[in-house]
Amino acid sequence: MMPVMDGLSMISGLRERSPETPVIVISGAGTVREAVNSLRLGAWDYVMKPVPDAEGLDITIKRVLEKARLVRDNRLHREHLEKTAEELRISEERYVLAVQGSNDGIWDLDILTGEAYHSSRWNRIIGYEDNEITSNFKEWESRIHPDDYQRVMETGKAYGEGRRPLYEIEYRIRHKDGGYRWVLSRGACLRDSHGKPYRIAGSLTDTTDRKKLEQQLLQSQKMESIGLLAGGVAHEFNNLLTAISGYGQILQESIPPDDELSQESIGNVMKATERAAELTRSLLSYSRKQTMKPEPVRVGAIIGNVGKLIQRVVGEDIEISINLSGEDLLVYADAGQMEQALMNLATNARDAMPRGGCLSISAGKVTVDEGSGARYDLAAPGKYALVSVADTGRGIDSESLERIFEPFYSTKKVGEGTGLGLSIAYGIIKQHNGSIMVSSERGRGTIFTIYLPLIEGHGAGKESKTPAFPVAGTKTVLVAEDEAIVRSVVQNAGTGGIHGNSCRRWRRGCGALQGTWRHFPCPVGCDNAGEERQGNAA
Amino acid sequence: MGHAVKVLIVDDEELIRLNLRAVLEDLGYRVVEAANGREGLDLFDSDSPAWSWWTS
Repeated sequence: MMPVMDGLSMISGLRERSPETPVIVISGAGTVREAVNSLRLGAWDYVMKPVPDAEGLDITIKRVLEKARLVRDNRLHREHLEKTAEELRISEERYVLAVQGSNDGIWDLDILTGEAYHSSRWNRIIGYEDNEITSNFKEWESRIHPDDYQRVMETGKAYGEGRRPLYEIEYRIRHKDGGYRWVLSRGACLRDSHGKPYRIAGSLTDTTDRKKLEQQLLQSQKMESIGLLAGGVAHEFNNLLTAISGYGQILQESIPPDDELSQESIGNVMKATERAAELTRSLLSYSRKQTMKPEPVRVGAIIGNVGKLIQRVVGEDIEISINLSGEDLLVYADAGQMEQALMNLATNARDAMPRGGCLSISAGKVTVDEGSGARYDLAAPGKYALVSVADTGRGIDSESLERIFEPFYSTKKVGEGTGLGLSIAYGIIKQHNGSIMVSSERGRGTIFTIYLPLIEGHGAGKESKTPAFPVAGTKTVLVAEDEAIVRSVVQNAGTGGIHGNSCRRWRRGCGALQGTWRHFPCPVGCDNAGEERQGNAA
Repeated sequence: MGHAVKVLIVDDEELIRLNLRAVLEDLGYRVVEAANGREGLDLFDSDSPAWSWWTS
């Protein structure tokens, strides 16, 4: 027998090197305690001296080998389990990060029971905390917008029956606040051996903002084309009106004053012509073809003027409140037009409050970030003056809201409104590189929000002066106008008219100017919308 | 499978080692022997992988 210490250190040495190698201690007779000690130190088994018979030894060896096999299996299983758990953890982390990053909600429906899992983000999209709402098919189904319901169900069915390769649908879902959010839902299902789906899971993306932008873009494109159409028609129409009123005037002056019937008739023609001209002017200002005289002007000054005018327009039962932030909001604007825009909004507000209420106009300063310009229908980021006109009237339904700035769109009775007031306001604001938006709630009131680009730095706002129109004289007037009928009216007014001005007409204003300017220093009358470049050159 | 297993006998009595070797070899084990712990560990170290019980 080897010395005890030598044996024990041998056992621990082996354990360090290879814990799974079985060690059997051969112990001398009468030293059972030593054998037990060595077991404590890591021996797997022991045999007593003298050396036992072959069969006994074989059993002992087989037993420790079996034990070693179990120890090893156990270790491998444990390692496998740890590895799987680690992989699972990484996979779970990947899933969590991806989902968090995408900001999507996750849903998972047991088709057979109708039970569902909805992630926190899913609940959050429709405004709920996790403990405030149950997750199941019925609850979800009840939240789908009625107009979208059939489409959603059909999409699910088509996908379930394999008629669609993907489950993907955009629909509206009811938010906690009672409104609807646009969501994009995408998912995939698991099928049983008959191909029947039993579980479907996927993601939910909140697309409300994107939808809003899309609709806004569509809306502004529509307004743009209506504006072009209206402007084109109004311009042509204006030319014809010039002829009608011009010849009318000539006729009026040639009719003897004592021919009352003819005088009255021509007077009515002139009145109708004036009204038609007023209408085309309105259309032109909507379509932004109106000449503008912009100057640096303070928003507070415009609102102050409008405030005074409004007092007279609204009744006593409407309270007017004007809130200026006190900041100096300098914008580059045609003060007269801007006042008209605000007056139109105020008049609209008055008409929305037949039983009285509160009309408030406020102004302040906002910064529009890079990227959020489109949200406010603005071309560029930067600092803006924010003017709002709010009423506490009956409000506007969503269908009317979409069309509210369209010319001739009116919810008022025929004869009560032209349907141009808000269109004109829209045109004026757009012409000032601003934007106007509206939001309303039935029964609660309406608020118009205007953004106007601020002038950075300071220049003093000036008073707007309208240049006096030259009255009469003996000078040469160059008439540059492509419309023959208009030219001829002016010419007739000149030659056949009272003051005896000489008059020249040219087809092309620019060529005329270049060629004759020196010889005929003259005031120039120019068609201001037809051919803009030539007009500017004049 | 046990018969491909290698057994290291460590004992300072040569008679015991011889005896055990004879028995184990009869049972089909491969046998290596050492006279003391130090020698045994050296042998183990020099041929460590072979001491795994599943050595074939």
